[in-house]
Amino acid sequence: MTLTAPQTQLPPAPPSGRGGHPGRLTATRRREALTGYLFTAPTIIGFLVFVLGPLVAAIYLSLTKYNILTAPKFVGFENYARMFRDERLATTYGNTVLYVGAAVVLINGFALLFAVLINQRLPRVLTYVFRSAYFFPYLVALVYVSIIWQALFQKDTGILNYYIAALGGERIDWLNSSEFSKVSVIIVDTWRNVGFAMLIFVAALQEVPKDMVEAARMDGANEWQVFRRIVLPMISQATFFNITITIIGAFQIYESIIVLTRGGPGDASRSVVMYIAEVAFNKFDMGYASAIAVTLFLIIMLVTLVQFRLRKSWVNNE
Amino acid sequence: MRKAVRTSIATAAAAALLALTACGSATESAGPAVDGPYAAPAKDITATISVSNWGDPGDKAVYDGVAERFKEKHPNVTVNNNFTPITTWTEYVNKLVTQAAAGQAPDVINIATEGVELGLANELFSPLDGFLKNDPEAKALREDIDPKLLAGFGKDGSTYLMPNTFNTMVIYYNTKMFEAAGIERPSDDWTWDDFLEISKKLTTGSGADKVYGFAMPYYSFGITPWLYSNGTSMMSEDLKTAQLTDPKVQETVEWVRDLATKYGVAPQPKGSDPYQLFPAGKAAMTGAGHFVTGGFAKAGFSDYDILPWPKGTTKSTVFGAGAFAISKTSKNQELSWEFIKMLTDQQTQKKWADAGSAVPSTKTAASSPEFLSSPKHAEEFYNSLSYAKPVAAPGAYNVLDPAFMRAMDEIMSGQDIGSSLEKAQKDVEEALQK
Repeated sequence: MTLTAPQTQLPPAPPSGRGGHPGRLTATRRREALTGYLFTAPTIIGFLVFVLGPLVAAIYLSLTKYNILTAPKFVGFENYARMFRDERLATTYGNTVLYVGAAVVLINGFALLFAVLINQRLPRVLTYVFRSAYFFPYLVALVYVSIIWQALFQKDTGILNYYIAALGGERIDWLNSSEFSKVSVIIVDTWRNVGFAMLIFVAALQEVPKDMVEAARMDGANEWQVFRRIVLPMISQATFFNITITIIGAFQIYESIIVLTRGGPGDASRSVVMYIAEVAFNKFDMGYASAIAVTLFLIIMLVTLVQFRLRKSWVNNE
Repeated sequence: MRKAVRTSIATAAAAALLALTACGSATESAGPAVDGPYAAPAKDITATISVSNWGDPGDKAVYDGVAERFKEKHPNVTVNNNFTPITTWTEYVNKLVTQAAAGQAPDVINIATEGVELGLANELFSPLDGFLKNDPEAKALREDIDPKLLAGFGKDGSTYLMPNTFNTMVIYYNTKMFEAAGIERPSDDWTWDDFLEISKKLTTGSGADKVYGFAMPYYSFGITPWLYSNGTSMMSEDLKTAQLTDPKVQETVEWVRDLATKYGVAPQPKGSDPYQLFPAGKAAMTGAGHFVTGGFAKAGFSDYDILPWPKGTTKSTVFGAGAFAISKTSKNQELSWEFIKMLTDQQTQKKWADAGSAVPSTKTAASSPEFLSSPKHAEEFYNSLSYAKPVAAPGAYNVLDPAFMRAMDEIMSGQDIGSSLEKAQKDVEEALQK
């Protein structure tokens, strides 16, 4: 930071900032601007090369037939029309929507519950312990998390079934049955992501003014009323953030399924992103894969936009 | 979940990069001359050739040995020996196609029956006819190889690949367990019914002590012998039409499923590894190629012998061969050919016989005492070629293989055979149309 002129000689700078010594100021400004651009350059270049470029390429490829080995051939909207006839795409989209719904409800539900419990008047050390314990899964690489869960889910040797059998239940084929393979994926996804959402909620809960809560209690509000009428509105920004993040994340669910079930049996637990990867890199049908990727992108964008619109009706900006 | 974002970005980025480089792969190269005498490259030639290999660690040692031997012959040639530990066929082929698309195809490509059609359809390989005709060394080698192995590696009268090893599916059985149960070695013409009866006799115990008659090889190459021995296949003879909904295919798949679910002579295949259950004495029989023998030896397990695959309506089984091709874009065609010759000559064939991951493709190596030392009926591996059929691998094998296994998974988890196979059929049909 360089001071440009002796402040004492000048009147307070006019709001437009263009007064004083235009020539010298412009040169400095230019230098400052240049510095600014240089600092942001890595991010901007990264965005152009790794986000915007591929996005444009995907949109272009989605209009072509392209098998990698021969040059892309323009086919118009054929790939998009094909999606409506693709039963496997319908199945994988159905699964993905289920994962998104489950993630929004379960991750945020459990996260809020844990956050409220941790935020009770416990000894400080204990709250640290609980916070770390719940957050820990988020620190372990997802592939390892999934490998560990895969062992727990084993039908004959898994510890989950050991307890179920010990309690007199039927052993469940967690990973190889059409229904439970989805449930397994949802369990792992929830377990892994609850900690992060919880941390956001804890931070928000600690911002809730204590005197406001006290005042409500004095006025005779019970705990539920306090929570419903004061705490929940006060943390609505955190809730909005968490829901947005979980939706976007769940739409792109991928690695955990590969490790746990490989998408099977059949397509029972396959997600759209897995299907895109298969079409692109097993079938080398880049055009169709790009078309599906573009629709997924549009859907996520649309859902996020709708959320931002609805935001006004329930998120407290105070 | 965050990583998934990156994955999809990477997908798009890869697509974008490939679009830029795809043009490079179509360039023609000189190729070997069909007429005129073959002249080997000079001893002191300076060059670099790249090789793409696959297999298990034992295979890698063989390839490294060949590269060293080549160095003695051509000291100024650098061999980049790229080795891919194989998990599934489709993954290896995908890698090759991506390399070729990026204009970085290796000079020498090791590929198996499963990827041959794909390579031929996309014109990845140079024809070897000029070499085979004019190089006297090649002629002797060729005559020592079963014509059935060579047959799969040609197209329109040209030969494109030289086989080095192959695998054929046979039944492995535990000799001690057979003895203990008082079961004689069945005849080479045994049937599915004989197989089921023996399996039932050998299935004993329950819970953790359960011993199964059969541990099922659960991958398409391992299920194919059931189809072939029932007189059917996933593909038509000319590899142009998928026939997964063929009643015979359905019948076979039902038989395979019933081994686990109805008769209970085999464990649920998902999540259990037959090549652990069998040497551990938890299963009396399994199906495999020669590739398991190395692992059994390492585990100190030798109480086994082999039998031909049992007969349904016909006596048959499946084989797949590994072979070497010269990439069409290679600038060192002659040098690559010299390397391929060394990869497939008798000296290397003996090494394959020892390595235990496959059957050598020359009769000499496959009838060497080293190869025949274990198991007792090891000659069956080469002899089975007389009735075996090559794995049905169309250009769209990368779709066929996963589609069939997806259907099998569904069927094993209790879903309807007909509708599961129908889905797979649709998938393959669509891929074949391209």
